Amino acid sequence: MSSQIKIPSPLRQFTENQSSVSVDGTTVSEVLENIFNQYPEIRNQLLDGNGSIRNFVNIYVNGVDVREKDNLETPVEPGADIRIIPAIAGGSGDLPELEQTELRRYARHFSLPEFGMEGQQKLKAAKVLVVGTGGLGSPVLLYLTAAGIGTLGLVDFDVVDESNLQRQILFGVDVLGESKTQSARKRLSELNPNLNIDVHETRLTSENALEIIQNYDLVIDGTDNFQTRYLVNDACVIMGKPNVYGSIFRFEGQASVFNYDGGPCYRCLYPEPPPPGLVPSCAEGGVLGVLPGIIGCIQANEAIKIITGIGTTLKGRFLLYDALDMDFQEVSLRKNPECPACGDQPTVTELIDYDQFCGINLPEPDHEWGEITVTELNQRIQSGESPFILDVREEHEVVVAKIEGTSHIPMNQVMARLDEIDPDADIIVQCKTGGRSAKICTLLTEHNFQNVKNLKGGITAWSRIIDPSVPLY
Amino acid sequence: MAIQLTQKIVQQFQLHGEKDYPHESCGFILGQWTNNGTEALEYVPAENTKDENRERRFLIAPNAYQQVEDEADKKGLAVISIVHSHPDHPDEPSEFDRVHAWPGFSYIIISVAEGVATQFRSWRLEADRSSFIEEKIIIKGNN
Repeated sequence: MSSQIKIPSPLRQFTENQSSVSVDGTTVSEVLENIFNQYPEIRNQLLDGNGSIRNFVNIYVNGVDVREKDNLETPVEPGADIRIIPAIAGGSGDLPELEQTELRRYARHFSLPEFGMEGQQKLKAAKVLVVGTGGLGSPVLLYLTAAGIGTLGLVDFDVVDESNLQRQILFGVDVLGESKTQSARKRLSELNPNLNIDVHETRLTSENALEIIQNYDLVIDGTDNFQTRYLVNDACVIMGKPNVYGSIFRFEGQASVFNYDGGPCYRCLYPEPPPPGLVPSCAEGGVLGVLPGIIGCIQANEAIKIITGIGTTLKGRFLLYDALDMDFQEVSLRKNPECPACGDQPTVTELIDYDQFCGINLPEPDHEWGEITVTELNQRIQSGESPFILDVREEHEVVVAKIEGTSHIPMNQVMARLDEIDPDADIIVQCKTGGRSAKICTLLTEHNFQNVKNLKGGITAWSRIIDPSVPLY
Repeated sequence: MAIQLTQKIVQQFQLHGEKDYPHESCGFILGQWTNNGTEALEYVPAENTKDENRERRFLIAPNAYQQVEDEADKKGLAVISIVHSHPDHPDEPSEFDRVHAWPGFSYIIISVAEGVATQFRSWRLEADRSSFIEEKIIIKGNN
């Protein structure tokens, strides 16, 4: 008994206007060969030059797409119902042509069947914005540039500092003190001169974010603080752009794809930021230099999959990586219908003041201890005073840089070593930037030390304003 | 070869193109073969199911096509044309259109400039798939 194969209207001109043909065969391939014997002109409409089913042609056997089975080798039972259905597709605006040099450069991409020439053309047509050109931005930009993303936008306001070089592999000692975006553009142009690199040498703010983001297809978040992370998220939701997220801290990293193809956004996961100071920054808490390399590469990979439409993205999936245990965990995320940004009734319909939202720059709570600037302290030392300066940083920091004449007790030992501090002395507490020392000022006043002052800006301010020979770190 | 349209069908697919702007609209025309081409009888709008890039791409799900074809067969008609819009682009088929086309359909492309359907043309793919040739359009009165 043979199978019935239904012929779609446009191809009936090749089957003597038969809408349905009865053919023998035990596999799809045999069935098709039998049709081709009868009606040879159909072959070229269904199969490409390699004998594979053309990508817009679907063949169903008893309602099941043969691509979900064994393709052309899918078995066909006698009496089966076979249908040929075109996926009707088309559109304007062709993908850009590739030049000879590009054909050579991206040869290893073309060999990937999922990728092919069209995947590379999609990369060339793509416009990607990378917010932050630091630890995450470096590998993201290097790999996306190497891969041939047609237009890359770079947002950063900072200059290259020596302490960046441990992880920000875009930069070398030759560009210390120079603009990150300009240095990055130079490096990336050397790697791949055929791309458009747009530099936005500015801090991303509520005022400029929508204007900058609107020109791109996709945003990669390589920021290191909550204000910008919420800003990037909200701007992407408002502008309808996918947001490829990554973050790093000490030995742990996270990655996901937000606001893409009906999936959740960052606020579905965290509607509000943690209280300020709860989560230390990388500058305070440290970060393993390799870690942003790993997470940044995951972000670059997700971006390429979104642009080319291949594979399964991290949409609705939150990846957690532990570099010490070498452990990847995955948590599934749902879109929250009550999400303030992307929910059914969003309350975030325009960009807000993200410093305020994250509790940054709020008036400091009252405290009983005083403050002293590095200039005032220097004047007192110059005029012959010798105040008791307590450095509460860790041992390894003191090795790198210290202010002459200070006494050192690491922050977490102060409580146990209070007896080493003269309660009647004029005490000035110092750390790297003034945060940890403020906590110790509070601790000391609670233990009845009377004359306690915090050194504003810590040793960093001292180095910048008073004594540049003290290294910055 | 020519495709004969009615004013009503033209109006329907132009409005559809304007409504879906800036995304591409797409739909089918059911009709029948005549001595010198095809005659359009009914416009059936379809949903552009592309997830992204709907400004310059459209995709009609296979089961939507299947339903329309079954309906046409039931009525003794055929799917004679695929209509789609090119927002802010000319009414000419792209290379992407060519590799995703079959001979035997009239591919009507509507140019929608800044939300207004300006002009449209019909194209047929050659049997060897090498290129599109423009097809004559005849518009009949209001029925």
